[in-house]
Amino acid sequence: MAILTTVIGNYPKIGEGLTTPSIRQAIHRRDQKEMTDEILEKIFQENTVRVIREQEALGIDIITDGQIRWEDIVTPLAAKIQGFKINGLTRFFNNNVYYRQPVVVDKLVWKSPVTVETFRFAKSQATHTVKAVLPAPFTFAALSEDTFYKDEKTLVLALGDILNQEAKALEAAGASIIQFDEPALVFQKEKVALAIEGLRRAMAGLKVKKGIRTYFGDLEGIFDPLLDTEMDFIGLDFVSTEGNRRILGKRIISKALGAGCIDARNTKLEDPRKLKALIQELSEKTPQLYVSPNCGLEFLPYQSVGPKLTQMVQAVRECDGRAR
Amino acid sequence: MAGLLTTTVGSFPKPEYLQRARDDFYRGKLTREKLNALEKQATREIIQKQEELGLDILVDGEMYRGDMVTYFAEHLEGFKISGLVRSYGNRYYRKPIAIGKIRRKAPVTISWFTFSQSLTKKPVKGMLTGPYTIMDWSFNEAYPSRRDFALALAEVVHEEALDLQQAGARYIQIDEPAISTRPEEIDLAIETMKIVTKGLTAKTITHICYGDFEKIYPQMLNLAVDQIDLEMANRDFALLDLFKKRPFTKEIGLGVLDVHRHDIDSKEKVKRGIKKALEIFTPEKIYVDPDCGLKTRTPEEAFAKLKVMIEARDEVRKELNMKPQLTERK
Repeated sequence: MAILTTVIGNYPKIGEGLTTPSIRQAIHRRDQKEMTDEILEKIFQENTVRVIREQEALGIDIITDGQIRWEDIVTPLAAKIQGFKINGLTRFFNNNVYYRQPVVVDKLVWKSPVTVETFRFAKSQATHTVKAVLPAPFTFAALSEDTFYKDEKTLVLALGDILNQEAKALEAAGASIIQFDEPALVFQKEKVALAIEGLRRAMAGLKVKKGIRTYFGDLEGIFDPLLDTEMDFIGLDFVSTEGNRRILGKRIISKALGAGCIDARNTKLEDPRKLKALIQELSEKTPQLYVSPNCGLEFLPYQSVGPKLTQMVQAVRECDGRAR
Repeated sequence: MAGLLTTTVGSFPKPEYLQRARDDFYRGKLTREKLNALEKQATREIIQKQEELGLDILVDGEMYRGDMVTYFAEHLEGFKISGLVRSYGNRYYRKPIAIGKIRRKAPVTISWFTFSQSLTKKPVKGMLTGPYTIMDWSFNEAYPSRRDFALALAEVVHEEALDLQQAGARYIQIDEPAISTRPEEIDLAIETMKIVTKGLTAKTITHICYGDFEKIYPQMLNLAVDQIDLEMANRDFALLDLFKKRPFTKEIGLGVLDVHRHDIDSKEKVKRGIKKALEIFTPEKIYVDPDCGLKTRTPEEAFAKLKVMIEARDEVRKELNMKPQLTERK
C-alpha cells in the first residue's frame, strides 16, 4: 500500500512574512480588550485555512487543523471539562516549553463537544483528509495535577470516558481518523497497563480508524502489550532515541505504523540518504506506513517547517515510486 | 557568627523606559548608542537599589540581556538566531541555532561586570549561562551530538569565567536551569561544569530550577561548584527534607521567595524557610535569595519581596543572637 505522509498535530501559529493577521498580536489585543473574541475567532479561522493550504501544498496526505487555538495538548479540553481549573506554568516534558497545568478539583464531567466545531470548520476547508487529535487519557492525567480523585487509575479511567464522548462526537462530525497523543508513556513505561486501560475506554465503540502517537522517546519493552489492543495504528518517534528502531528489529507488525522520521525539535535537515533508508526499512514492516515529523511542528520556527516537510515528502515519494 | 548573606539570582525587572527603548531599538527607531546609555542608566539604578535594600552580594541586574541563552549566542561566533518559537501561552522567543564552530570572538560580559562593580563597594557576582543549558535551549545544526555541542560551549564559558575572575569577580555564578530536564544527562552537565570552573579560585555557584531535583540528587552534588542555588519557596521548602536524609555537601543558595507569584511573600514563611535550613546547614553555608530571577515581576513587586526577605533574615539573626555580618567589602 502507498506510504502516506502526515503530521502529529500542531503547526507554527505565527511566522515572519505571512499575510494572514498575526495570532500573537490578535491575542495580545484581545487580552488588552482592544479586540473582540469574535474578531479573534475570525483570525483563528483565517490562520486555520492558511495552515491547511500550506500542508496540502507541501504534499501532506493526512493533515490536521494545526491546533492553532491550542496552547498545548491538554488545556483546551481541560478548560471546557467541568471539574478542572487551570493552574500555573510547568514544563512540557523535557522541552524548554511550558504549559499551564490543569488541576482536577472536582468530579470531571464532559458537558458538550470541545473540538467538534473547529474540526468541522477545518474539514470544510480541506481537500485532504483531516485527522482529529486528542490527548490520550494517561497522558492527560500525567500532565494534570489531581487534588480530587487522589488515585491515578480512577482519574485515567474518568478521562478515558470523557475522551470517548469527545471522540464519538468527532466521529459523528465526520472524522475518519482519530489520534490520541500518548507522549507521557515513553517516560513512565511501567504504567503501560494503565495507559492501555485508559485507551480502551477512550476508544470504546469507535468505528473510525483510531490509534496513538508517542513521541520524545521510545516504547522499548512495552511495545507488545500495545500491539495486543484493538487500535488501528501505533505511532513511534524514530528521532529522539534509537529504541524504536531496535524494537521493530526483524519483526513485521499487522497494525498500521506511524513513523516520526524527521526531527521537529531541531532546525537541522536530515541526511537525505539516511532518511530514505529509514522510510524504506519501515515500509517493509507494516501494511500501512504513515511518515511524519517525530512530534508537533511548533517547536520549530515557521521558516523551518517548509523545508523540513518538503524533504520528508520528497523522501517518501522516492521510496514509494508514486507519481503525484 | 557570620553567615546568612543575602543575594539575588541575577535578573531584575527592566524599568519601563528601558523596555520601550528596547522595542524602539528592534524596530530601528533607536540607535545602539542610545539604547546602551539607557542600559547603563538602568544598571546604575539597580545597583543603587540593591544597596538601599541592604543586599550583601549584588548583581548587575542584566538590564542589557533579553533571554539568558540568546544573549550569549548573539555574542558568540557560530550561532545565528532563529525566527520566533513559542515558549508558552502567547509568549515567543528567538532561539539560537548553532551553525558553525562556537568561538568567543571577544569577552561577552566583562565590560558590564567592570562597569557595575565600579559603582559599588559590595561584591558584584559575575553571571554566566552554563554550557549544558545553552546547548539544551538551542537548535544544533553544527555538532554531531548534544555532547559535542555542550563540550564546545564549556570551553567558551570557561574562557569567559576566567576573564571575569581576572576582572575581579569574587563570585561567579554559572546558571544551569536546564540540568533537571533530562536526568539521564546529568553526567554530561557534570562533565561540562568541570571544564567551566577548572582553575577558578573565585567562589562558584550554579543555579538550577524547574526541578525534579529528586531525580538528580545526590548526583548533582558532583557539579564542580562551591554552591548550588535552588528554588525552595515554591514548594514550601520540602526539598530540605531530602537533604536531611542525604547530606547536602555544598553551600546552599536558599530560594525563599516564590518569584512566579505576584503577591508578596510573608515574612513568616521566609523565616520558616531560613530556620528550616539552619537545622541542616551552618549559617555561613547558607546564602538567602529568591527562587529565581526577578525579571518577570514588576519593579514594585520585586523590591517589596526583597525587603521582606532581608527583614526576615535580620529577624532570624537577631533571634539566634547572631552578630550582623561585617558588611562584605570588596
